[in-house]
Amino acid sequence: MKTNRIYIIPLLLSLLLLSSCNNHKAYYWPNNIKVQIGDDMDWAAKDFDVSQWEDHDTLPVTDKGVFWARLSVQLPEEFKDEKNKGIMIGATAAYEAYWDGQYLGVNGRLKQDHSPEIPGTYHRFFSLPDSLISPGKHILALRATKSYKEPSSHAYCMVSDYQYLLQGRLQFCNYMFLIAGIFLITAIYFFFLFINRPKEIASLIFGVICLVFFGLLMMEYSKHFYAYTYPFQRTRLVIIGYCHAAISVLIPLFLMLQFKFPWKKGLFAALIGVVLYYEWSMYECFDALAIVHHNIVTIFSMIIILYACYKKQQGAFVLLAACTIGIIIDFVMPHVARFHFVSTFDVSVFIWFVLMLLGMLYLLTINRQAERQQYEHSLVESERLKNELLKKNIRPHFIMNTLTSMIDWVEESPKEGVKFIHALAGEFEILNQIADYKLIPITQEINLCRSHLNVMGYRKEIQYDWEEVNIDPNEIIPPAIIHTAVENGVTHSIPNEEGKITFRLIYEKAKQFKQYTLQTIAPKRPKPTTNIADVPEGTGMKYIKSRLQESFPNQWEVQSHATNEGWETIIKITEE
Amino acid sequence: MNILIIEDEARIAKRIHRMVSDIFAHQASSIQVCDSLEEGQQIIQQQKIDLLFLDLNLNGKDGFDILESVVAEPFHTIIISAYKEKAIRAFEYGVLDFVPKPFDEARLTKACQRIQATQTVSTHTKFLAVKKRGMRQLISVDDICYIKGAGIYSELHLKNGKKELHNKSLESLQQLLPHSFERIHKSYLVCMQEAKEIAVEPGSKYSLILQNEERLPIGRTRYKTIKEKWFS
Repeated sequence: MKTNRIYIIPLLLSLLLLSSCNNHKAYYWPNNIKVQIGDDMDWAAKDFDVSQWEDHDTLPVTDKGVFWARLSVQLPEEFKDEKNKGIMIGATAAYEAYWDGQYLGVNGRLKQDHSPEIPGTYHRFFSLPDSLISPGKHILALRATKSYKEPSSHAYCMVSDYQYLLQGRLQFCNYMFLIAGIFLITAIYFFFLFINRPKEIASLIFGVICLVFFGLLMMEYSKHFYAYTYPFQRTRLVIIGYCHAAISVLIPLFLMLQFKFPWKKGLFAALIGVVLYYEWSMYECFDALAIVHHNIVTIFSMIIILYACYKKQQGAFVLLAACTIGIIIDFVMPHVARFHFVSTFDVSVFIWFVLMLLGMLYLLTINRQAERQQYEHSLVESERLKNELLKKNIRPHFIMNTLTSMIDWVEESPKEGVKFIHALAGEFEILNQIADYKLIPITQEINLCRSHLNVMGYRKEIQYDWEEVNIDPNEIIPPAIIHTAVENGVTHSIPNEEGKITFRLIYEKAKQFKQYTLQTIAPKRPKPTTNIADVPEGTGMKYIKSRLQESFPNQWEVQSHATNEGWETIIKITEE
Repeated sequence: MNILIIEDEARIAKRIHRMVSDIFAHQASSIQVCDSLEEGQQIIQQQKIDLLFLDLNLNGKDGFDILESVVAEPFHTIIISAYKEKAIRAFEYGVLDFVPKPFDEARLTKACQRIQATQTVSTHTKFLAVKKRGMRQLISVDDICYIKGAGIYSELHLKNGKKELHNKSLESLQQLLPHSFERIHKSYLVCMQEAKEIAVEPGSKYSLILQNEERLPIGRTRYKTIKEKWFS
């Protein structure tokens, strides 16, 4: 099944590619427009001398009424004996178009003395007379008015098969719409993910990136499927500019968060600074600014990715590959591929984005996988700790020694034996009550310790005293951690001359932390002189640490050390 | 008989003390109790001990290090432990018995009776611990060819030709070693897998010829039993 699916993808892609292939070529002439304000129908003629006219690459705004613009078009040899040619004019004005003096048609309505201008569409198509498409020089003359400010968008024309001019660009858009659809769905999916788990900012950022990318694609290619009037061209370019700026900021931000980049604030401030600087300094230079933004996002992303690669982070090399391939395509594409209806930059920049977004998606997936594993691990860990708590009192060392002592008490002094049994029952009862909880009231924990000492008193025939200082009964604590410290105290201490061991639990609370200190006031057992290995870290200490980590991740400290009086275990929980 | 009880649970130590003094009655000349190995080792070094009762989990420490050090000593050791699953391993080290907690007097009596046995009582011994220049070394029972009694010590003759000295007497070792070890002479305990044949020497003496051609004397009284048991 899997191989079948893999087959389908290239098959679909090649079908799409084939669908856009045809034999037609489109010829394109931008810039070098001769402009003259005024109105004279003779200016449409092919051979009119325009040497005195102003040179422009955009159509100037004018409130002085009609102006004329002439573009010189050089048709190639292939046009010999050709028919059915057409011309696509991209110009921001309302105009009448003339081809070698021959009237082609009108786009919008020119401003007249008493009636305002009706803007023409940004793109307009005219069929060219078969008699006027011989190879060589031709003149496209536009008699125009331009009442709306529409800066920086150059006028151009494209000559090809008329049918191809109308349809080819729509075919070209297939891919872009396909990609746009994918990213729209992805954006929605990640928004839903974010709604369900609002803590995952990465989902939100990725969703926004996908949505902005969708918007960018739709805006960029709207010129091919939406016949808008020329003043919208400015709006469209502004939106595209903002989309580019947003992506320039969001992609590095996403990478910084995912790769846990250490200098987030610094790099992000630098990024914002650079983006704002170019927004200001290249105001309304739409196309050039898009290229600048692309360079910015590439450089900043690369810095973060290289850092992640250096740190050998998961997924870093996939993103490095995506980014590098994207950059290579940026450089190579203008030399190997030409597109009839868009610039190579428009295509290569989108390929870069798509590669990066795929890489980022992969990154999100592996990070989610890691989170999932961590979550599952925490579940297992909780179960394990619960198990360990329950096992505490059925471990052979505890239960068998207790039972042996108990038999002895029952045999030797049945009344005391019964008390002993009650003490053990008491400890079991508390353990049973707390086993299912991750946190229990401190009072319950103290009761557990006291009943344990009661049991141990019968076993060891030592008087265990319990003292409390400053305990806040409203506090909660992981179950059996002080109990574990008490067990250690019982094991490692010997009674004083009076046959007594005292445990003292002290509670302290400050602004940033809470602290429990368990003091064992008794002489410590002398260290063995032989080379008998002491267990490096007892299972008891591990239990305390695991329990603290479970309820207060990375917000705790445990210390255990000898004091003049005996032994001291300090459990410190820092506040967030 | 000097008896030492190492047990960190006061109530249980008292129980063992009470029962042991009942079991051995007048045989026990002294019974001492201590609650840590350090203290126990001091007593072992200073006094002659005949029997040790040892808890395997003393003050939170794993008991096998302790065990290794006491089985090299001349006296027998009886383990009293809550960890029944450690019995097999304890027996491999050559202890006389393993009494799981909780126990009653009958069980303890059974363990104590083993000390009087003249035959093998513990068949699971896999190692013998020997003290060598203050260090302990574990010798696999499979490596032993025969053991020669040397007063209160024993000489372990290994298959590789080396000799080691063990602190236990030949009688004590015989109680701990598997049935494949046969007492052929009052001074010789032989792993019978190493025996090749019996040779009759001049003067109606008998010798056991080993695989390595070594000849060991066979006690006159034991000849018949050995021949029937191993060579018929």
